[in-house]
Amino acid sequence: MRLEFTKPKRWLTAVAVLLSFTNIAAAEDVTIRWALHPGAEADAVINYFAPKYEEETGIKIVGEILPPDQLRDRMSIEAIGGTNRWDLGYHSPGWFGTFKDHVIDLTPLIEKHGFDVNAYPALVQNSHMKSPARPGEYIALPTTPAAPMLIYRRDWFDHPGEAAAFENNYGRPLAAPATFAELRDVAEFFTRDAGETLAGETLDRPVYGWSDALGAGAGITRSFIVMLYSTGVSGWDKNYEPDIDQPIVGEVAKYFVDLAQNYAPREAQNWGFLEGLEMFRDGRMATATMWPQGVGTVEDPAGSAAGNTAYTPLPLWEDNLAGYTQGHPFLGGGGVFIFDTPNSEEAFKFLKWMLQDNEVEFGKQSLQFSRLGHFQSDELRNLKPYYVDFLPAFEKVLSSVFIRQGIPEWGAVMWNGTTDFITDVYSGDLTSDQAQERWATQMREAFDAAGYRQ
Amino acid sequence: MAVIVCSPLALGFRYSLHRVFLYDFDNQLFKGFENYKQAFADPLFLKALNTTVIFTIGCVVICVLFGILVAFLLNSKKVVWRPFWVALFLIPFVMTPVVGGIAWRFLMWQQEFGVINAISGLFGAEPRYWLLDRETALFASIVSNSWHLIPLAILVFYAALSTIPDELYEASHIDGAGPFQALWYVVLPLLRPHILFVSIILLTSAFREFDMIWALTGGGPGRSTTVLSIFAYNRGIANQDMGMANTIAFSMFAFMAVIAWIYITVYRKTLEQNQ
Amino acid sequence: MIAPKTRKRFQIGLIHLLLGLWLVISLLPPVMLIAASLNTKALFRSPWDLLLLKDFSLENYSTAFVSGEFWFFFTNSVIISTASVVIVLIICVPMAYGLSKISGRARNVVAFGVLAMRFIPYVVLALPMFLLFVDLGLAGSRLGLLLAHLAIHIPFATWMLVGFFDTVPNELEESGIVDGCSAWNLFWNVTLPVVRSGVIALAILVFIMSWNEYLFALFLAGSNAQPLTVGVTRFLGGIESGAQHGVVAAYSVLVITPVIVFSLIANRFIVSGMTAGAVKG
Repeated sequence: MRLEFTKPKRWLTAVAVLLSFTNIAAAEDVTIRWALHPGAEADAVINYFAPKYEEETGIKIVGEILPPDQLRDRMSIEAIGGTNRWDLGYHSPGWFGTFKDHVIDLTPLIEKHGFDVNAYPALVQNSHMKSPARPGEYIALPTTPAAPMLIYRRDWFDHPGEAAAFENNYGRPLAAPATFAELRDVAEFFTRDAGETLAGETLDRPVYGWSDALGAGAGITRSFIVMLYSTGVSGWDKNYEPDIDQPIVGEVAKYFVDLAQNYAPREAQNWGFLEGLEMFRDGRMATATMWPQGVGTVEDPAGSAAGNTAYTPLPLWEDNLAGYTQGHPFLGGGGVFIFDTPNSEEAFKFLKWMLQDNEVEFGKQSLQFSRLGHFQSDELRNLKPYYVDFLPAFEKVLSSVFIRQGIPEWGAVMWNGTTDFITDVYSGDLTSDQAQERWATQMREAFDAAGYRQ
Repeated sequence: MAVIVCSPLALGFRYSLHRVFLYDFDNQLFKGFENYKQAFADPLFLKALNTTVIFTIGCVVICVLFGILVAFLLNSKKVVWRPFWVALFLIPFVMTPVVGGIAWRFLMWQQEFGVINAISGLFGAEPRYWLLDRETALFASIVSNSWHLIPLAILVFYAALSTIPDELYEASHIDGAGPFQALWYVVLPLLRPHILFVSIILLTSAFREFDMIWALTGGGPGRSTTVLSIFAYNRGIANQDMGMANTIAFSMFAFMAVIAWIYITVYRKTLEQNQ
Repeated sequence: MIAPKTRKRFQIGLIHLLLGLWLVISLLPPVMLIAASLNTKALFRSPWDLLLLKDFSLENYSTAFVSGEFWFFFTNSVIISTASVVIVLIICVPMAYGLSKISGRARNVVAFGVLAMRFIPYVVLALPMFLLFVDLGLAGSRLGLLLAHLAIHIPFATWMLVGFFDTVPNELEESGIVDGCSAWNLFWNVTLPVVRSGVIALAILVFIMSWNEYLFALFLAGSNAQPLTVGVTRFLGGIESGAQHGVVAAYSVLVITPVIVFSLIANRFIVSGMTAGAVKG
């Protein structure tokens, strides 16, 4: 046996050498690599800012768009592996802590290059730039802070026949739902089969009352956690004692399951994020939870929703524990952090150039609005006809958002905890009591292991 | 080579005995067999195990059944263009599983425009949400995966059948047996070792299937198609709990090792009997 | 009473009809993919419309070629699959030959180990492997991905090849020894030709398996080593997913075309090889 092995080994070496040759080329000039989440901002980076920056400075920016469900894992794996594959990474702030060992402190660079931190609202600064995992430092720059809102078909709500029918059935006028209970009524009212009439027209396909993405994993988690935070829970209190085992969490889960199973389309179980807005665009939904990245789809002139869509913050969860006066989703979207690579300063210079020196252009290209300058810019406000309605509503949404804690365990205990909880309650595998108890136990274990609880 | 094969295994086993989180990778704690205890007490793990068993058995049964049937037809006397049939029947097997999953999901099972509903609609059946319905998603996954694996069964059975001398059929024919009686009484007993062989190949393949299910349902709706390999992926990658992920993997490995051992024993016995 | 001849004819007709039906079932998914790739707005049409190419266009292909970096992924796939085949043959043929010469316990142990390899879920091999490769400086390279492929192919290939070598009658080799052949000559000129079609089949199967592999590529291929299977998923789950289905279909067709063509051309070898090992082993 041994004899037979020696030969192949030599071959293997030869092949190895041959293969590695193909990888050697280039590497002389500075190339900044950025792992991106798909979306308009990624397209803006790749198609607009990267070529422009290279033209101006000779520094090459390579954006690599990764599938949303792989982005974090791939960045973690490469970071743990220390491969320096990416200089820049993008993620939502809840997961910033995950990267605590691999990203650099931006504070000195912010001072050195004159980046104005105060161009962002205070909430955004806390959420998208800092992390308790790296106290006293800035570890990220916001690119796409976002939180969801409620959208509905204004033309259907305004239709006299529908308004009369609604008032007949529910004893109050048909209006934008101010509470989640009202949202359920509206969703029930507008859920129609093919063949029924809606706003005077006979439907050739069914219409659904409400939807959000309900796909396994990230989809259903994001949709539910938005409602969960609206009840006023934060996951745990300052002593790291879980608060998700309270009855109100069971109630919101029951509400969510009812809404999702009775008034949302079955297809929603295939949606991970914004895909379903195409159905809203095509006039097949009366209301929907929408992240701002989806506004372009909704207002696509090819669909019937264009020009007929109204924007409003998420409704209020009545009797919520924190006294919120409107829905209270988490502040999501993401920020960009810089990995500890030889290119880190060059990478920062690029970010500053894009976000600060080209402030309005960034808003225009990426269709993301987070800086005070964005909301004040007339140019942006007049960019699209629907921005007149959309932007003020979005600004209002941002006034009441949950800022995630950003400890390294956040993803494990809160995001995945929510995934497990809502998946089991939604499928009926566990009762919400059982699921809550398991969740709280796991949370305590994680905090004990991290030494947070005394 | 041994290094490449064994060291990830050893490393994986080591992780299964530790608390290893991707977000806190440098801080690994030895836990002994605590992870295994937790896994076997976790209803989700047991459910995934159950789903995996149903998925695996479903695939094996469907593949063996249709494999024998098609091979039997193919082996009938006077079938023309045998190489042509064989060549085309092989295509599902060589087709990239991820792509197969994509095709089944978007073009076959899709509720509004998919082929399955279009065909069943011709017979007056109501359209179904095959992949979105907890009752049918696992079934649909089994069918799609079987579609991918059946060619293997067909090939092996066809080859085995073609070694059965014609006289045997003729003898049974004289005894007044129809083709399906011949299949049952003459062919099946002779095929037994091949059924065993095909079963084990299919079993190993179906037991750890990931690509196809991932492309089809991602493990959903709910957890209805979350087989162990997807469960392990979710724990290790989405939940970043590499300790638990490796525990699940090693449990899979242990189950399969037992089955492999039983298989080898039985296979040997069957071979001896047949010779 | 129907004449036996008519009955027989009817039977043969029925058999061909059933085979035809099976053919439809086998080919429907790939044919639908092709149909979808040739229509714009692929998802929003009934399957009959798709098959009749009511909305014919080659636009999806041009999109797949241009924005999908097709050739980049294609090159990676070709390099990794070809290298897998070459190395597997170099390693496994002698190893299997040696194994087929031993008998009893040792062989059982190896057979068991090889079989056991088949049971490991690739999902979890991938991460330790990545970390291992980081230590070896192979992370994200084609070589790393290639090694991972070899790790799964070698047990499979060895197992299959042992089956082939077992079919070589002992008398053949014995007569060679009598003729005074050297061990090498015996192997090269006497034994190997007998199992030639099996070896070719194996090579093709390994190529196909490498080409189709997805999971390892997901983890281990850096930005410069990603093969086509990863490329195709780039179009899935994007924001405008509905509009992209035609492109996904076009890309899918491009991914499967080489393996299908390959399997059709070399069909004789695959069939004989896959079955020879199986039936006799």
